[in-house]
Amino acid sequence: MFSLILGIALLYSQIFEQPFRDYVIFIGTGLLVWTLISGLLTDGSQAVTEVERYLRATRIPTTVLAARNAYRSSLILIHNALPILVLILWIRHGLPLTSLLAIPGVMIILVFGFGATMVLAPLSARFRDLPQLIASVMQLMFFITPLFWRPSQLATDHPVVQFNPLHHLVEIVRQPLEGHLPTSTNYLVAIGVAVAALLLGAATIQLSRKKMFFWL
Amino acid sequence: MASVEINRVSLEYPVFEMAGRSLKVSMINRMRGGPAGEARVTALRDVSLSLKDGDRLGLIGTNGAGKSTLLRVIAGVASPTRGTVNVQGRVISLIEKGLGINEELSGDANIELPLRLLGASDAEVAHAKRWVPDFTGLGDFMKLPVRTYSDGMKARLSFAICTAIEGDVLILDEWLSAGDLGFVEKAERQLADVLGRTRILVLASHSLDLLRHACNKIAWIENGRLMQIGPVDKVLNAYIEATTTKVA
Repeated sequence: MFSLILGIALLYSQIFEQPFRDYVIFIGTGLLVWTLISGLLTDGSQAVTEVERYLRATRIPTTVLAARNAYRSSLILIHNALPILVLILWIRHGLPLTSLLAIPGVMIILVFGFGATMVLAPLSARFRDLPQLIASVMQLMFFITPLFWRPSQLATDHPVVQFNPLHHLVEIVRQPLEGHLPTSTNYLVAIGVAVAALLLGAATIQLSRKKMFFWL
Repeated sequence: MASVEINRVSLEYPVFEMAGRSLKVSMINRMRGGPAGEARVTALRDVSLSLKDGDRLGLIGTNGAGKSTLLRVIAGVASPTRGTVNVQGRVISLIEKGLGINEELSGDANIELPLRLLGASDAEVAHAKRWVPDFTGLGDFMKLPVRTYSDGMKARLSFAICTAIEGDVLILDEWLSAGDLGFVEKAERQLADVLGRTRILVLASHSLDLLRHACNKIAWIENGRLMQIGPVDKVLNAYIEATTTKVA
């Protein structure tokens, strides 16, 4: 991941005529959060089917499977975060104080991922093409969400930026690591989608509880 | 005091074809106003039975009669379409063999997950970690990945893991196999020991000898229906008669 970030940063800082030092941090932190979000969603959609064999013989609550997914994603995040933090330390000679805000940001994303897994995992057991569908949507989002380009390059209030909930989820972690404060809109949308995911997740579990066995 | 109460349970399930499992195809069908197109299979029809402490129930019936489905309903894995299931006491269900065993991990590392899947507590896991290596006699092999084990050694390991935990209601799909000859005697004693402390046993098997030996009650299931339930010899004889006349 580290070499990917350096490579992209080298190329795109030229294309967009951006100063390399700022741009590499922007790309690095952005991809770090993106890997967390897309991992939560794509792995989350497999959370039930990957333990299919177990579920045919024993009962495991879907909440446990969702928590397992969130836990696994957070381990991957910690693993990926180390080189990025070193990179920021090296370029900026210290971590900005706002970095502390990245921690609650990650928490909100994990809650979102926990809820989303409770929705996607049972549905993906019923509809086996859903994981592929999610993977291709995430690939599209990878380019639509401002990760390589700054939102200001497009116009911050452009609908592609404004109405993309993933953008706000990215911002609540990326902005603090870059040394800025996320906007209150960022937080409102991020918390909003996390709560919505939890509610939808609870509803999905309620609806699928009795039927899920037959989908395995 | 343990008990199993099954009251007029029916279970139907949908059978999906490949296309039925696809979201894209299902949506297109729905938009066209076509049928949802799912076949339904009835696995259990109006089954009632009641078990109390000391009952050793054997399930018999031809393949696909609904024995395994009934076990899964008692274990709480499958929910019935109609009717009620009420089980009092701790249920241990050994339905799938080798559940939770990861072949890449060592024998030692493979003790915890299977037990947790059966619902073991911290204390039970800790006890099993000391007891299983000792009981199986696998010695240094416990440090090696399970994929390097022979079939007999795998059988020893999973037998030991399955019997390291005790419950009030024990659900068995086929008998626990014990591995090689030197181990059989030890395993028989352990199994007798576990069964002695289990309040209710539900066992599905095709082996008449085993059912006569281990059970004090037999339920004969055919086509999802409970044909007869009662004393071992009476039900088994009726079953044998019915199946042999069908063949003749």
